[in-house]
Amino acid sequence: MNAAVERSTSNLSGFVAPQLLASERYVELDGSLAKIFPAGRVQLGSVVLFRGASNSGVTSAVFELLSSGGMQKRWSALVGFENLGFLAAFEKGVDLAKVVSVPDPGRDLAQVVAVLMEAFSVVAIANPGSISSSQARNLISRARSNKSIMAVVQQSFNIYTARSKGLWLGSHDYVISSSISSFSGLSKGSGFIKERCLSLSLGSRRVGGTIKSITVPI
Amino acid sequence: MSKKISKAKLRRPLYSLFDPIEQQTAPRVLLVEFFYWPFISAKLEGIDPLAVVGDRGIVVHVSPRALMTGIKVGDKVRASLSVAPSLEVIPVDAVDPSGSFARIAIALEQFSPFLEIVDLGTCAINARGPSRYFGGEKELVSKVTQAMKDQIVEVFPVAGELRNNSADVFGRGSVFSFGVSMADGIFTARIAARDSLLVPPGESSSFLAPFPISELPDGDIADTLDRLGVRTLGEFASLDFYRVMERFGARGALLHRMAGGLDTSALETSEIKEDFSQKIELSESLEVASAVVFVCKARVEEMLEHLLEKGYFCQIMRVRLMSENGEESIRDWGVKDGFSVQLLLERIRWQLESWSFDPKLAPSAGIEVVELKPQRIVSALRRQLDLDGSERSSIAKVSQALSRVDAIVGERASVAKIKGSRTLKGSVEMVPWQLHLFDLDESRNKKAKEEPPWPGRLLGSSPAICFDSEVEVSILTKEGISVMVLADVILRGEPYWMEVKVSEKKARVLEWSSPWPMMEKWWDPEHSTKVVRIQIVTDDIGALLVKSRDGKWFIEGLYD
Repeated sequence: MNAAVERSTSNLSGFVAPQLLASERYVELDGSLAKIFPAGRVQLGSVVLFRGASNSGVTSAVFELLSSGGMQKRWSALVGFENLGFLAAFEKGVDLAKVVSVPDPGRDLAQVVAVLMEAFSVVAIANPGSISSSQARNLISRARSNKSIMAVVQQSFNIYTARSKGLWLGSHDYVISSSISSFSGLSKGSGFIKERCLSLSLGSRRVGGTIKSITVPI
Repeated sequence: MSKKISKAKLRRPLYSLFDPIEQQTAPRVLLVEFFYWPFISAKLEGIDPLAVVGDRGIVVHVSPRALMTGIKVGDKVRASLSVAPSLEVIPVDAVDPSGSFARIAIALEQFSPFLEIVDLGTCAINARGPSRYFGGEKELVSKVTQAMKDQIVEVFPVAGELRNNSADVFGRGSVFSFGVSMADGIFTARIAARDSLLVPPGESSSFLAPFPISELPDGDIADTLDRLGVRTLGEFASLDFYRVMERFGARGALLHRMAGGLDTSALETSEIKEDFSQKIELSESLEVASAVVFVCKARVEEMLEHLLEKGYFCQIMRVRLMSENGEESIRDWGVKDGFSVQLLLERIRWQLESWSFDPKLAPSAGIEVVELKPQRIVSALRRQLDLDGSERSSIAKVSQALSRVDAIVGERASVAKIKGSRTLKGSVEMVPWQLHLFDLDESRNKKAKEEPPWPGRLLGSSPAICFDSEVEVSILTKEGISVMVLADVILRGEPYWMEVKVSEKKARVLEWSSPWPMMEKWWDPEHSTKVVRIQIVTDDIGALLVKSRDGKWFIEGLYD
């Protein structure tokens, strides 16, 4: 009897312990991001830089992150996303009930992000240009200690203002470059966009700058 | 004070801006409360025992005579004993062990079939129908009062004997004293029951206003409010809803609504989208209550687990018992914090026992069917005490952080909700986060998706960027002539160039879709305009959704 209990508990501990730790340290990804991230997960507390030109699928890439399986019980905050199409996010499978948007954080962007990181697992920033390099360093260390993923969206060109929303002056753990190509379903005046191809490529400081790419239909 | 009351009333339309809880007014409630129920159920000698109910050395109920000696709820039992040495101390778990209250409450059932037992000693019915039927609210109250007295005498023969000896059995000093009240919502009705008052419809907020803040069912929040200088319910109700929410969270917001006479928390059956009810057919009819309960256990566990999995918990459960000969007993049981297996089984047993003890209504055969039907299920996130602590703490953290962000930014962070519409902007509603946390209903977003397609809405996936303001562009043919829309559906000229006006960014148009005609503001004939939308794919700035209105082109969204 005792031996049986011992055996079952030792089995159990071997089975349970690492899993518990993993869910505290990582966000499990699925879909396209799972294929390019090492081990299919992102470590909490890391900085992920989304980089691309206007209309290059950066927003879709952010939706891919927010809709991943590991985000199911986690809250995310979107800071500075003024014209976000939440309907598209919803269609991608993002659980909008756990996404809070602060569209116009004003001049205190860094402070807002710092406060949000205390409670949110993912804080996405759309206008990193208003964060100075010292603020950025501060935010990165806060992300590490709060175990919050900082997703920085850096668009090289904004179709509306014809300007970039600025460069991220801090460091990053991962960088995702995206582009959209091959629209199918429409031709000179007929049909509608049925499918697009989103190409994502990941660069990572941790795995020695190895770059993995993938193209997925969306 | 009167100024504050009118303020509280004025604020009321504000609630109606938000759906859906705020749109409801509190239901009309008739409530019966036995003030000294623990002492009745403990069956002490006489109608005026000197007794208290003690829970781990603290007094939790005080009999009327003990009250006269100065003993209060919250005193130490030992200290009370030194005040009144002959004091009888009843342990808390000896109170109402067999659900004898259900046998009293049954008297209310003849007025409305859907009786709710709010608490041991307190029961209520929705009064709207019955008061019409029995010829007015006053008449109903007096009929109920008489019925309760009769029932007490019947269940507790002691009371009848004492009454025959011309003792004032239902008077103030007796343990049998009770109050009957009618008001909007349970919270108001409980306060009104102390003096058996009838609060006219819509006057709950002014009735509640002068009562001290300590009446709130949450001691911690009441304490804090008191220290902040908010002394009465009226003052609390006149505070700004959002500020209360920011400071005290969803719990505080609920109390705020209660203080304003808007306690909608009970006596209504919410719309239940999914059927969680369980019909348990016993393989053989059983007469012993504990046997029935034992047989039900597995199915009750299964049902509550299923509810939990879906993220719900049940506040009000309707229990229907049916005997072999077809007799029925139906009752609604309420538990504010949601039913656990034990609580529900206990209620089933109480109902069984009170039914079979009733000489008039007792079933003539054993029980064959037990049916459980949740009457009010609430999203588990809305519940104050959460299922797992982590969820609760994360919500608390989230609301704390967002309050601070609101203070920094100066406007409210918001959460998107999807609803059916054919315009991109119209299908998303931004809700202040406080209201969202208060009414976190996961089924809503799913519901929107299932709605039938709107005529004129876009096909395929939606653009990831939607412009609020209008971004004008010009769409030109190869020769530089502006492309126009004819007869709503035909383009004059083939798009070749596109130029964004503000940024002067120019791109080549590669492909474009067939046009979608749509009316904007079609409900308003003066302002309604026809727009035509097309998707275009460019070489340099990807795919866009543009619309044509009054001969001009605007970007509506980007397929980013």
